[in-house]
Amino acid sequence: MISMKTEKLVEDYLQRLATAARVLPAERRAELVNEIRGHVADAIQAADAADEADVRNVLDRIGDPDEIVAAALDGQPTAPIQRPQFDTLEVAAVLALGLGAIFVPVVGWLVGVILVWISEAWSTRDKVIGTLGPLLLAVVVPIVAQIGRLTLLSSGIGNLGPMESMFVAVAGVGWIGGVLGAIYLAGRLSIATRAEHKRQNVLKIALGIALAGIVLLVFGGVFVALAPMLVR
Amino acid sequence: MEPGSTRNPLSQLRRGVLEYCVLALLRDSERYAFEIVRTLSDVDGMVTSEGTLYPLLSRLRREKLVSTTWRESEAGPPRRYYVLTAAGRQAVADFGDDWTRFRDAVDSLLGQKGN
Repeated sequence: MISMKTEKLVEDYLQRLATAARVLPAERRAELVNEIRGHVADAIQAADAADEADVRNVLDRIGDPDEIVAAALDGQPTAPIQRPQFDTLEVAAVLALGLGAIFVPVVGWLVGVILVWISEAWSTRDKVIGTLGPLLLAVVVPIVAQIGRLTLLSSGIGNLGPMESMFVAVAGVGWIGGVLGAIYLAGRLSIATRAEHKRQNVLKIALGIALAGIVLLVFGGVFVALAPMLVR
Repeated sequence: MEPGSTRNPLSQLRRGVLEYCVLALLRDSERYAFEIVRTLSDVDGMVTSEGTLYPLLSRLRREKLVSTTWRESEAGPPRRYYVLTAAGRQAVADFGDDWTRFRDAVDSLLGQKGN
């Protein structure tokens, strides 16, 4: 007998299995979940499972999802890692994105964006959220701020010129947006925490800082050299 | 890591032997997955968790020791039927010989009469 409760039991079980099976290649994972799903259906039918207790017994007999996935891993040399691995490029990208705007306004952030998109570590979805998401902020907030400033002006309080306040708003929000984007992207990386990886991690971080610094210096230099021409 | 897998020799033994038991079940007729899993798990002491047999079946398919066909079933969705390949038949035959030798050897060392 299928009821809402027992259906939920089964779905929860299959969900736990799907989650545990994330360490498997996508194809095998899908195949395994489907086979177990079919088995659950057959087993429930064979046992004439009538209530929650029966279904629980059926699921117990099928076994713990982690055990099933462990059996699937048996003999596999390494489990493919689902979350993006972090490397020197990723460290540099995150630093440039978050801090670049402080040292080299706008251009620094742009450098970060470029580095993020060059990297193969993040999924496209992550990249969009991390770089373009804050960009939306940078566009929307100054508009709101400008409206607010105009309101203030009309009440005689604001004393910044329109261009200056726009610039401050854009730079400020852009920086915050960059920091937010950088934090999001950094959080999406997976960091191997086993002892043998610690030295590698330190190396990656150090090189990443160096790379970010060099890239920002280069672009910053170019920007500073060209800026007078732009202003004129 | 299977709990106790490094401590319990029997579970290691079981894992090594299980695939041949699956192959043996297919010697006389084709069977579908649920049938195989149920028959094995009904034998006392062979299977602790039915679900773990599916990765095993998957591996046997990949190693071409079995092949499968889908058949319609009146009971519901189509079922996947397993048959032995020639390689699978040979594998279980070879194992049968090895096992008899091994079982007799262990029995004699443990001081138990073989049957």
